[in-house]
Amino acid sequence: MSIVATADVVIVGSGVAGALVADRLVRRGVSVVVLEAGPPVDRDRAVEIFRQAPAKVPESPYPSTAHAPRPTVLDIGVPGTGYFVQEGPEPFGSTYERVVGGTTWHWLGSTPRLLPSDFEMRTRFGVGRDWPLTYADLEPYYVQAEKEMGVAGDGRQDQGSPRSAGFPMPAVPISFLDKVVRGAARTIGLDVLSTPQARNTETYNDRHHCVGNSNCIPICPIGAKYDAVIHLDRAVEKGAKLISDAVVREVLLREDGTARGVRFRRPDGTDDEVLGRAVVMAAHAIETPKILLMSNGGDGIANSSGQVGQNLMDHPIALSYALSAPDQPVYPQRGPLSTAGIESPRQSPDRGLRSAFRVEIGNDGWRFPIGDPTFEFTQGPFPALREGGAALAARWEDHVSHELRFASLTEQLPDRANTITPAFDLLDDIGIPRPRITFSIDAYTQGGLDDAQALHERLFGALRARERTHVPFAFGAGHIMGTTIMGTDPRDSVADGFGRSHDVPNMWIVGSSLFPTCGTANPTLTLAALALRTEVALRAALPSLPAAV
Amino acid sequence: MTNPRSDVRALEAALPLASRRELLVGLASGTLVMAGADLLSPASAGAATRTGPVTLDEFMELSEILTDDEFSLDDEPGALYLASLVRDPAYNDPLRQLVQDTVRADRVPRTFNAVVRRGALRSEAAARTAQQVLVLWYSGLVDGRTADYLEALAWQSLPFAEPPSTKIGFSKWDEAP
Ligand SMILES: Cc1cc2nc3c(=O)[nH]c(=O)nc-3n(C[C@H](O)[C@H](O)[C@H](O)COP(=O)(O)OP(=O)(O)OC[C@H]3O[C@@H](n4cnc5c(N)ncnc54)[C@H](O)[C@@H]3O)c2cc1C
Repeated sequence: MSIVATADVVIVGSGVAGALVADRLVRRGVSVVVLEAGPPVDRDRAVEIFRQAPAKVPESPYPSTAHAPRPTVLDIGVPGTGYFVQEGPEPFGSTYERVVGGTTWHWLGSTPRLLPSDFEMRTRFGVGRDWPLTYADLEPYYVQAEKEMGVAGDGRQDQGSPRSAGFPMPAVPISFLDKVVRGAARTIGLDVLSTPQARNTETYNDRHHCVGNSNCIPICPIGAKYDAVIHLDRAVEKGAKLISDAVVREVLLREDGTARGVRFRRPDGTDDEVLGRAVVMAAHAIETPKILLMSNGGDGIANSSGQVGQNLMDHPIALSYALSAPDQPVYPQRGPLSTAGIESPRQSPDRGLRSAFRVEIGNDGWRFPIGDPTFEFTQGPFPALREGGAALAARWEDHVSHELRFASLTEQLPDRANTITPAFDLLDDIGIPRPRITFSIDAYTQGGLDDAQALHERLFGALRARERTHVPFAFGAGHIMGTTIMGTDPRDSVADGFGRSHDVPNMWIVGSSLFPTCGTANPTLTLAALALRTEVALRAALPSLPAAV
Repeated sequence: MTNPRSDVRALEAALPLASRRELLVGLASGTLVMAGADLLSPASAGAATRTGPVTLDEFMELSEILTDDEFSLDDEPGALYLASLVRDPAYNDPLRQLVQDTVRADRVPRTFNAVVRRGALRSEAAARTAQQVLVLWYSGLVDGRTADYLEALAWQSLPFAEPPSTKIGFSKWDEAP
């Protein structure tokens, strides 16, 4: 074992949270090492792998390595398989990537902000927790994050989150399908708003505008959708050192309780160390708490609250799909996979009793509930029709052109019983504990799921939709939150409002693991804004931190 | 030792279409290396008989008939589909019979409906085989693998869309096609 690098700041994880901090720090002359568990991804090759993959799931283009295993949606549904050790009672349905650049490789790119009320759930509604910061505290960083990531949006629309600046780019035009849904929604008193999204509508930061590859999940072939590689490459260009295939397994502490650096394992099973004046944990909401709990010989660090790995949250999804009225094809399967949503249920006055939700309108036909049309064809009634030739082609076209789907993201409250802990008894191929997860969906969230499906049904009614299906269980949203919650009281939270550990004064955490509650906004813009705020605090503290030895 | 795949490329270029199709079947069924020498011999190249195993040419023609000749079908996935059908006892004999009743008939039916009128799908086995041929072409999936994604008929039959990862152009999604 040797010390392979020393820097001012050691960052664990090269996803959007880590990459943004790395980029900001090196641009201000701070030396940075980024340790990344997985390998780099070549975009063109990943597109080819996607095309070859029989199941076009979010993970399909990306390498699965023995040293940085990750969960996939294919194994979530099959008990006893996959990377997660699922203890139930319900399966945890969200996944993430472990490659250079992290999960934004396969994210959709929707970037709504949280609402001001989302920061004050305890005060306003008597449930959950208050954040240790307000919407107003974060607002300037939302503006910065939107600029960094390149968010396209319609500033004239009221999304419920006051803005001090316009969007960096004009909105992504909503789809024809959105317009049909909007017409129907208005008849029942609802409006459809265009969704802010980190997708170029014009050349932005030297990246091309979207050309409708209709493949945001799992991979944008041209990089018109933001992903963390953009900031990572920039950071490396400016002098950050990136060590890939380096699986961090513990944070090393000095006797005085400050962090000295991290220890990581290489694919061949050998261990090395990187030292720094400060450590930033950016390995996302499963791996970050796992590393903290594996540290200190397995006794854990930064855990005087006992809440590292607790309060695991998702935005459990109510999914419904149908066919539009026979005389109203909606022509899905074109453009970004979602361009609009119904936002008013986010502000439900009943938030003390049941979860709010936001309705995402899909442009992707039935890809989410069933799969890519190539797969759907094998599953649906078509093979059994005894039809062929032009008649079959016409019937298939008619079917797909009417496909609709709604996915509503509900809110989960922080619950200490929803946990991720290292499975010291079940190791991965290089001897590192796999994540053990206990997870359940409570009555509060179930109420929101039920309300969402009732709303979907009303929408289907207004659309005169046929063959309506409401999936009877919740899907994972891919939004992994909680697990190193922030708060003002060290007895009841892991980090302060800047992501600084209450216990380890030179360690910061970035990512959605900090969220004390999760609102109903897709989390990445918020975690990016928080990370930019953390960077400022960290840089201010740096001169007072111990040298890296 | 030379790489068998690069030998194949050279062979492919040199062979007439019918023989190239035989080669592709060999590739798909894993008999490539053994078949390689034979394929160079003019006596066996493209030597389909009217009762023998279904050739790739015949399978492609059958596929075109079952899809009403609406699409341009590619030999390469076709070879994989044929190899898969031939390997499966549920389809092997019915496929040969179907070819016998259509492609090898004196008057070849040109459309799916003409095949039905001919009575060639009357037996359950023949109907299921025709369905399977269509499922393969629409899905582009064979034996749990992707033979062809971008040209799969599930996408090619949608005039309003392109397969994901290929562009339709900025903002084309905001109006009806
Ligand atoms: C299908 C899907 C769609 C999504 N769509 C949206 C959306 O539309 N909008 C939205 O806001 N969010 C979306 N998300 C969520 C979004 O992807 C995440 O919020 C975001 O990527 C989290 O960023 P991060 O940097 O914290 O983590 P990640 O992007 O996951 O990066 C963490 C990095 O840490 C690395 N790492 C892990 N363990 C270690 C270790 N031991 N040592 C070193 N490195 C390690 C990982 O390899 C990874 O590169 C989606 C997620 C999924 C799955």
